[in-house]
Amino acid sequence: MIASNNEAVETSGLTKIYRDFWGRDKVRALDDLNMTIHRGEVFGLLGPNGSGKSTTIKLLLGLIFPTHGSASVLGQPAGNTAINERIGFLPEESYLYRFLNGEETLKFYGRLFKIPGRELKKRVPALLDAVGLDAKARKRKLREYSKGMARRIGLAQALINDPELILLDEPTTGLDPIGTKEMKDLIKSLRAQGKTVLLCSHLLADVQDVCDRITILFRGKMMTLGPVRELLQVKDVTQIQTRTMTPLQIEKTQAFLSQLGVTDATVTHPTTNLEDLFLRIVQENTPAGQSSVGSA
Amino acid sequence: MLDTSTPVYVWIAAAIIVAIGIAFGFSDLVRFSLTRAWAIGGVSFRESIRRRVLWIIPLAVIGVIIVSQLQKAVDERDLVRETTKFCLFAAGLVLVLTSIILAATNLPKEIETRVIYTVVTKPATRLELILGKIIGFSRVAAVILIIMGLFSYGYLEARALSQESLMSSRLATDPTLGDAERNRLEHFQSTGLLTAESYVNPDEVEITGTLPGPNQSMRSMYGQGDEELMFPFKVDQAKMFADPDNPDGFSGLGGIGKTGMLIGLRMQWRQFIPESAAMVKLHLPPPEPKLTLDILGADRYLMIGSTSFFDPRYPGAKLAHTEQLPIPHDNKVGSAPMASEPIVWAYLPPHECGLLYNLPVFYIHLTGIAREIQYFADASSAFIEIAPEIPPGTYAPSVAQAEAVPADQRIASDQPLGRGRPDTRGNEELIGKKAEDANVPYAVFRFRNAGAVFNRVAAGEVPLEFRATIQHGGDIDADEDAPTDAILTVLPAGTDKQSAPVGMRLENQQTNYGVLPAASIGNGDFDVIVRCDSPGNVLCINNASLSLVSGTEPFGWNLAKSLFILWMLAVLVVTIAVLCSTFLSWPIAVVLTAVLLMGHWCVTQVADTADATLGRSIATDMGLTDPSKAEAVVTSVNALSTGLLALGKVLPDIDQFAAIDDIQRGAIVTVQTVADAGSVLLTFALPMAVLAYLIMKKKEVAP
Repeated sequence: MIASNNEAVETSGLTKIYRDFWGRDKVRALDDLNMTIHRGEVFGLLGPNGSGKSTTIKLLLGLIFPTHGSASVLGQPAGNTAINERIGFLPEESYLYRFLNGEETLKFYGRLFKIPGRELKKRVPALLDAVGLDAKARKRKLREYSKGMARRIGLAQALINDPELILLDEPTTGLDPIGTKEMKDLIKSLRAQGKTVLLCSHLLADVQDVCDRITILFRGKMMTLGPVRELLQVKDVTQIQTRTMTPLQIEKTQAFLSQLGVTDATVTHPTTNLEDLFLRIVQENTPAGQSSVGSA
Repeated sequence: MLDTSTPVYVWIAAAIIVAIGIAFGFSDLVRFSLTRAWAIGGVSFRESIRRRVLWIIPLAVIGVIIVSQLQKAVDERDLVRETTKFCLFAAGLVLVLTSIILAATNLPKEIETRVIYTVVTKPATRLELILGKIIGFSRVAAVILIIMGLFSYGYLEARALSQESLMSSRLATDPTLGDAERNRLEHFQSTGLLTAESYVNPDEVEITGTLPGPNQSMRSMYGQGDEELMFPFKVDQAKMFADPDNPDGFSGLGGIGKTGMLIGLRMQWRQFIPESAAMVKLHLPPPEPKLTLDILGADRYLMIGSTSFFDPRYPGAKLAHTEQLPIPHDNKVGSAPMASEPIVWAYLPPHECGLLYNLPVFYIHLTGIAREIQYFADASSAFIEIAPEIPPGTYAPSVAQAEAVPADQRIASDQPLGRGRPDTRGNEELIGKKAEDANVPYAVFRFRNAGAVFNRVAAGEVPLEFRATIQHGGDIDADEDAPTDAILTVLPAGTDKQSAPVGMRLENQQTNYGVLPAASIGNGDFDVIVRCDSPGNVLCINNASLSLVSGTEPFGWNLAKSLFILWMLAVLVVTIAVLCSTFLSWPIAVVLTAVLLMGHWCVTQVADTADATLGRSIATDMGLTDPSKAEAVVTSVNALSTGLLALGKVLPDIDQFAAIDDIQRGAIVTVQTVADAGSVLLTFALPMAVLAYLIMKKKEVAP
């Protein structure tokens, strides 16, 4: 199956069954997945643990092979090595060589793309800057990295080739709220650059913030697929929002709504979410020109 | 083009596997990038170094130093050469162990820790992944070898310098030095202890009572058992064995063919004067010329003893019952021509013939019995014929039956070979006699087509090395403390013009150094004739006792070649380990790699005993009288044996990586030796790398 030029990813009846030593079916990890990811969109792959999200990504990358069905990536069959030139992949955890330092890691992956040495000399520091790893961190072995730093270097290696399609498997795992926000900002900026992002997560807030469309998998089957706004819209509730009101104004508003026959209306102060609160506090206390990552 | 020892079918099998690899992986081959493979190899290399693999080297170095200090060397050069062996052995051991462990564990661990996700999702093909791993660990092996090589060179130079200083001091101040030892020390001083020389060894050594000469095909031995004669027979199954495919031919004994084999002997002899007056005084009756007969296998060790033969003169009797083979008096030298009858017959029954069936060659082996008899033989003196069918109730055909076989159906032997009495180590004994004695044995070291290699020798001399075990023969008159001398001459083939004799004073089990006149060596076809000139002493020699030195080379270069062979071995080990690691967990991969490496050697060891004749021997030993049972046993054992031999052929022969053999005896590592190792590497590592790639290509790397 070859996808049209507008589709970054297309699957048709994609099924993965894990079998035991004797060839008997053991687990049906993915069952008849049919989905399309358009170029330039951020697509969310949601589902609880064991729902088939990672299996889908592994199938798209050729790490495992489908039992039935097919998948295409950027117009080529999934697993085609040549297409990897245009793909970036951030695995669920940063599976990297722990004895290399940050710079060596990026240079190694850069060489796999045959990026010339001169170009690598420019691109590696730029990427390390972009993911927020300072000069000290770049020279440290990856085994000494914190989980957040490992995620950052993992993201940098996924972007080393300036890919068209980026597959992010649980990208915010292990990141603090600032890192999470930076990751989300980065995803948005990637979208702004016209790149396609496949985001796989079970942190729903993250997905909601950045995804254009999502699909929800459950026990290997696709439950729903569509634009986030459309799927999240609660059609039997109406919300009116305004700046803060005095108690008198609230009382009059409720009386007015009652006159209109709306008897179950509640008027309260909205709450912010914890992430916004945390970000505001950290930003207010971070000295200018310093990173919020690591100890002082 | 070099002729390697790798069989043609191995090359063909390797080519087929590579062709399959190309067919299935053509796209990856087209995409192959050395940059990517080198980058993958670079990570494996860096990981190994940062995991402090090289820390094993100091341990090896300490081991070498301790062992070399504790060694008991035969002489100064032996000390340095033994140290060379320790150094290379330690380097090889470190190399093989680290290569197996690193290469067999790497891929499974990368899959287990999922690091491989970030590699295979890049544009790196599985081919680049496999080759990258092999390149990376081969680089580690190279670093280990460079460090071990530098240590070895430095340590050996230091040991050589220290020994040379000791030698100078002994030569200057030790008045107790004997001639032989002084000669040796002076030789070491002039040539240095760290030498690399090319040697030419003889094609054959014979010990015979008759000196070779022009058109001299006659061999002789003296009857006291000090010399022996061997008649080589190349096995021709169709000609030598009657009806070998007929099951009835097993005769219930697991033999070959319906009938056995008749051996005809037509020896000449002469009586010579007893050497001591004491024997004359004993008034012994004239000695009877008698022989013992047995058969040696291709390795020249006893295969069929004399009691296995039957005597056609007495068809119910074993040969031993008639007290060996008497030679008719008509065959006395001067009284009967060689071509005439009568013939002495011996009969070998079918079950014994079966032992010979699959040999490339066997030897009819004769030893004289009577002390004052000298026996003569040439190629016409022994022959074989298929025995006629035996009448019921008899054990052997009669003489009349044997003689009734037409002469044109007889199979002649090749040129007979003389040899000395074997000692317990397989050496041949050369008895010491003065030139004027009556029964002087000579060792004839035969060199053929050895001309070209001596072209490098200048100054009219060819250096030689001679090594023998010296035994004191128990002669009453012999002085056990007297020095042992050998006299050497060179005889160009086909002439009787011996060179002037060269005397050598010999040290027991030491390498003794001398020179031969280069002029007599001529076109390279010559014999070196050695006589032990010390009565009462015996030189125990073999084919390797005499070596002629044809060239020299710097030791460092020779060491580099040995290390290169070790590196090729490491590359093979790495490739096997990587192959195993593509489909096994790392502990099993380590074990399987070791098994595959040792497999050929193990199978060869078993197959040496389990050759194709083993089935017949077992059937015979079991005393099976039922032909169907005998055949079942023979077939089963032979199938097992054949299977083992076949298995041995598809496993790499690591004996071909002969990195230590040459250099430890001071010999130049030849291009041929390097090529042999290279051909094993090419024919096994390349297809194994292809198989590893094909497995990886179809492998799901996500656990």
